[in-house]
Amino acid sequence: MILPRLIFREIQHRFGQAFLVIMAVLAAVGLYVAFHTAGLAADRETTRVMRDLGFNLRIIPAATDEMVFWAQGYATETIPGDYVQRFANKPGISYRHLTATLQQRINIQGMDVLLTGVAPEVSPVPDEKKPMIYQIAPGTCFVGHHVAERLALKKGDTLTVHGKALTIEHCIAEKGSEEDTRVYAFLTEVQEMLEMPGRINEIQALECLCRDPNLDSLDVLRAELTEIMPEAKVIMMRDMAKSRERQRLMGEKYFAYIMSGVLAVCALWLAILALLNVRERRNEIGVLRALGYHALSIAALFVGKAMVLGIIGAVIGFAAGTALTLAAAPSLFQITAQSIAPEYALLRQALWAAPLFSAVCALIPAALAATQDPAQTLREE
Amino acid sequence: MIQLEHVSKIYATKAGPVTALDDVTLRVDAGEFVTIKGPSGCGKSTLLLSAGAMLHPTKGTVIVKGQELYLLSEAARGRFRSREIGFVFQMFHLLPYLTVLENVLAAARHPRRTDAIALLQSFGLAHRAAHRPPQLSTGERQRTALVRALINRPALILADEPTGNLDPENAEEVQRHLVEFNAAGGTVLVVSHGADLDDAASRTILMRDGKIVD
Repeated sequence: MILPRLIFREIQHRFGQAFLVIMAVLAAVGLYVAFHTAGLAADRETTRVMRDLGFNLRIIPAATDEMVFWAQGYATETIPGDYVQRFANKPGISYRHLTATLQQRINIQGMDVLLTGVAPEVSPVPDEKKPMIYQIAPGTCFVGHHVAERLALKKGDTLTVHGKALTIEHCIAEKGSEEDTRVYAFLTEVQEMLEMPGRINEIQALECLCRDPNLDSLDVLRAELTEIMPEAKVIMMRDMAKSRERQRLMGEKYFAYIMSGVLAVCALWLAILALLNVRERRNEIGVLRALGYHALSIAALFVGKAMVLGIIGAVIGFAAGTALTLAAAPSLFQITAQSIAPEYALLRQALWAAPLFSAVCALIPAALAATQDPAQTLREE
Repeated sequence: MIQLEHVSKIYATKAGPVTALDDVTLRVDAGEFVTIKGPSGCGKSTLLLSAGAMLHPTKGTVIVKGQELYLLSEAARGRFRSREIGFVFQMFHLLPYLTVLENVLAAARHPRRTDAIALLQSFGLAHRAAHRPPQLSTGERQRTALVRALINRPALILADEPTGNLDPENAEEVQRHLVEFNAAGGTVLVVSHGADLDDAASRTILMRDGKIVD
């Protein structure tokens, strides 16, 4: 008789024991899926919250005097606009949002405003992330709160800047920062207005971090970027970047600790259940050996059973873990609640990892079953 | 058919070595029906298991159908056992989660339902094919165990107290099937306490303290 039938029939026969095995796998898979899915949700939430705090990396011309830069809020010098693409194409640097800007203080209708040319944002995976900075279409502009208020501007009005008429697409709500004095326009048009074709004075980037906690991210980035952008230098918003990096690494560390504990307990649980199963089936093992079954076939009965229950546990565990996260996570991560969804990649992982895990846990009991002396069992009768 | 030459089996126990078989020499020819009798613990079951390629003796050689069993690899011994030997136990040892038919097929080297059902029919068990062992009477369980032992058409049946748990009527029926197997040319070696198989046996061997005494 083929082994699968023996395995399935025995599972049906000792369903209580099989149920406990499934529960062990379910606990391991369910908690892994719940933690992982909630971890992704936490990451999204943090990213979103941090994104509102601004960029954490600024690349400015090397010749810039930092005293002037911080005093006026932008670099007086410029760098080539294609530095953005060089940055994006540099392998080994991770980033999420990359935007080139050209800023200069100008006078519009007697008012001192910060004209800001913005290029379309560059993302590692196009369209994956919501842009961090305003995306301005050619011929349009966004105006800051004070500018709109002082010049009595509203959406749809025309604002002439350096002789170029721009349609106001959006009046930005009050921010309580220099943002309120800005006029955002399309980068190429601003370059023409300021007669600086192809030039920018800043690249802003979010999350350009070195993953190795033993290395200083800024040192690594500076070394990397000097090669491709000789005319530029890097300023990192250290506190923001560090806290963000620290938070993620801490989350990953706790996740690893908790899952190690959960896996150890479940492994022990599975091994004990498999041992009990072997003890309970001593006679059966003896009879099967008397019928000519090879020791490997006997071991396969136990390992095969563990794998079948592992697959069942993986499916139910994924469903339980996902359901738990979908029920609990939206109240914890309210801003990105709508992005919380089943992570089907975890199901694919669970479908091979859980049977493998339960099979490994059953290996020693299976080996004991295979090496058990059948004659001893039959003699004890 | 069976040749045991100077076979000894010593078990290592916590209380010290226990000699279950002590220099036993035995020959059973093809077509014989031999019963082994003796008091409990005299080595009957050990002898049966040694002859059935299940228990490696401490000393001596065991030859069945011309094959020295314990020179074979474990896998080859398993194949030999499956092909040439049918076991019947006092406690039946049917797998409780399989049906009668599945229990028979579990032992079959080349599982064919039609063969198994035909054999069950000849043992009056066809109507029980879909039942599980706990649903059977003790007599039906032992007959199922007999069918399982015979499904591969073995040359030899080794039976350990096959009627020990049966009422006289069922014991007689099991005996009849063993006699029929023997009449068809099969060899039977039976361990038995009682006298119920004496009439069927062509020879009776008496054991005591691990030795054949008669």
